[in-house]
Amino acid sequence: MSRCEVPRPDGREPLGRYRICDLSGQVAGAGATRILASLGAQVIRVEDPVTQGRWDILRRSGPYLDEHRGVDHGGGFNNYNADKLGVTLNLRDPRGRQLLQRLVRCCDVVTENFRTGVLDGLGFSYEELKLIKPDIILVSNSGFGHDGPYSGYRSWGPVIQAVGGLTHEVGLPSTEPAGWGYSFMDHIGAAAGAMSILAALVQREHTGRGQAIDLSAMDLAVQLLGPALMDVSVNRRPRRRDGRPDSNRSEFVGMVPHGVYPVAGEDCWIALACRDDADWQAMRSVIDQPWAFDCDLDAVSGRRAAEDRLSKMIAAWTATRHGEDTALRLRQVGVPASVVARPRQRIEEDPATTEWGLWPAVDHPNLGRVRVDGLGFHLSATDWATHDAAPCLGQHNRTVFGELLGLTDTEIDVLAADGVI
Amino acid sequence: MSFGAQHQTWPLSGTRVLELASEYTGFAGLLFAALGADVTVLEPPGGSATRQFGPFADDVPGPERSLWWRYYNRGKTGVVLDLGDPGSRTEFDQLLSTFDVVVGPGTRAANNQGLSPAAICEQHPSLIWVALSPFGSDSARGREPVTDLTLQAGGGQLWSCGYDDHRLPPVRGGEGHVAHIVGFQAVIGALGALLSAIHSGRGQVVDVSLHATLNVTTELATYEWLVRGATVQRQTGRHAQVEPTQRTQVRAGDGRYVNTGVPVGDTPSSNRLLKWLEELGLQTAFDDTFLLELASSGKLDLADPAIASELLSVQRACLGFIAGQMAAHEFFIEAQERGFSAGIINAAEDLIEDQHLKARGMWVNIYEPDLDRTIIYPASPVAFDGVRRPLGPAPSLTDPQIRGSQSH
Repeated sequence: MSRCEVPRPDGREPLGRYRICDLSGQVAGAGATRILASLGAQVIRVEDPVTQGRWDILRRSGPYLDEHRGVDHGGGFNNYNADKLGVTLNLRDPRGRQLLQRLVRCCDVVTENFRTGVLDGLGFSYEELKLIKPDIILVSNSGFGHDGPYSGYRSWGPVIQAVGGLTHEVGLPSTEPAGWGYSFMDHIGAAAGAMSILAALVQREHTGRGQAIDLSAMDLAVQLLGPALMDVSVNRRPRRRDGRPDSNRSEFVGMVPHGVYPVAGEDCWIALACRDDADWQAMRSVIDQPWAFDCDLDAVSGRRAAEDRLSKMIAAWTATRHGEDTALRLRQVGVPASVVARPRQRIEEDPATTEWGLWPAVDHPNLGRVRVDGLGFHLSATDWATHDAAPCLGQHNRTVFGELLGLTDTEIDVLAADGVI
Repeated sequence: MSFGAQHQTWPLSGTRVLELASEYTGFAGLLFAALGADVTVLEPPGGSATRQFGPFADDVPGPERSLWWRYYNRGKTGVVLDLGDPGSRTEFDQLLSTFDVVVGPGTRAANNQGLSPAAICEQHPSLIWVALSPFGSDSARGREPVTDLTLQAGGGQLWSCGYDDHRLPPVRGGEGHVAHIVGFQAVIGALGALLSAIHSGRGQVVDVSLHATLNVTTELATYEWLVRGATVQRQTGRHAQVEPTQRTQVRAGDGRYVNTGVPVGDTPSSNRLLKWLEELGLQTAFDDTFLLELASSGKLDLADPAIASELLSVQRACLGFIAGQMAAHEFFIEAQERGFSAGIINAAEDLIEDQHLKARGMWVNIYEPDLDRTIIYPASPVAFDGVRRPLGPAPSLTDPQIRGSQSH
């Protein structure tokens, strides 16, 4: 396996021996390589100097710390690109394409999430990449995949969630679907991208072979329909029917009561669930009102039959109570309960996220010391770490093109002056 | 430990994964199977509690009729062992020596079963134990009871999902997604550990916190707070934002909903919208056609953020207006063909008939011998070398090794 002679910056486990040429962007693409960067991979983010990287919506959006704006000021970009190196390459210019070839030769993986055909059009199809680096792994991460009737279609998280059947599953009955309030499928796409890259690396370790992987967010969305899909497939029961969606209730696991109820304060809510009859007995001891001791509610079948009425009674009971105190009291008797946590509550006031070290801080030239997302797992021997802020546009041109690819300072200056980098 | 063969067909061919069945391990195990691992799911006598999860085939409850079980346990073989029985512990230890990866509970729950992931990894130095727990193995909150709903409430999902009308409660992003989000994280952690082990020969514990995972998969809600201490507010069918934004979800002419996506807000896209309005004979019916005409003729200063924002708003309104004139599916196809990232809100039944998914081979028929019928399942989510790993039916309690056949 041919490798560049330049030593890796730290070689730390578990991924310190791998280098990724990251042509991707947005949350689904950049989020995948962000995970791998925190696990030690050297990720080199390649951006377009002509558009100043604005192809990636995160380069042209906030949140911003203050009144300053620009491609190096956005908090979203910083969140999904921490720990990466950043270079600029104008791939319209033959010298830019030549530099990308040299970069690919030094990498184990190329990632991209352009629309179908864009990478091929630039002269970097998988077949062409293989000529440059025979064992290269190419992971393409698009909304609809690279074949099929929708392959040329444009997407972003909410569109995939809608087309892929997830939006329809979220909401309250007798109104329109609420859908996810963020790009849930971008997170899933990012995770699937990271998983696919790692799996392909495992395979290459054993076989010496690379491969191309065509990830489609719509393919992934379908996987997440799970039991709902089975009800359609096996029982011929459509999801588009009266009373649906009702995603705060427990349709498949059969818990009653199970819902989100108001508590004291503006827009304050508690989620609670009785997994079985024992939970209900514990909960009614906390409620301590005559209606809760109705023997018709003792068994889940009775509670299911009375679910609408029961929900109203519970809502009336919770509405004047303090959310955190009520959730704590219920948990103390073994009933699952949680307030609907606001960002402040889960980020600043929750011992579970603090003790996990969930939001490591990085130093960003424009955002100052700012926290970013960590990972949801820890490895006991070779754990992840996050040290560096996302790169400013072209921040590591000299490091990568000079130290890694061997260009002289003069050559780099000429390329910069010519708009190639 | 084998860690795969030299000429493996799938990335994890030859890797053996033991899953201790639970609500939160099923999807992780399914992903391992899709990656090519040999996955064995271990259940107690009488079956995993998840066999009581619905829906059930023909609505007849029973451990062999749970479609939840069948869905999440495809591609796995089964073994039944009572880990609470000291007599079975020797058998379990022997079993462990034949596996590369265990997907099971975190320290606290494992200890309740007399297991210690760290001690087991000491005893089996090459073993990777993926420990899933609500708050992490050693969390101060480790004793709290949780469900999918309460985890999504505490993890930030619910705060961002719901309606413009905040008199309505926040809503859960669908049932069972904690296991999905965490399943990916668990496999990513395990694969990182596996790549380490290939070179070092040493396994380790991968401690997966459901709560932590949920907290870092909330997009804007988290980094708006981290960067500037701002709190997003939920909105119907679109991103929760600090400041309210324009609706993106509208009702199409046939009563179904569509998402108008992200308009481009430039001259060419204004041209395309005008052409579409003309073809439909709707130029005069749409209130803001004149603004599209100005943009189309290059007479708007799109460098001015206020004007650019106004054009985006008009384009979105125009897409919504057009959607109201036609069936949702027609709008989706037409909009996309014209370069707009719009979507249709499909239900699961629509997807089984969807031309794109069919063309990508996303549906497979699996013959389920005990039900004596063929069931449509999604194919494996990722194709390696262009091929998706076929997954047989879930193991039955009476014949845990049973495997069926799959066809497209």
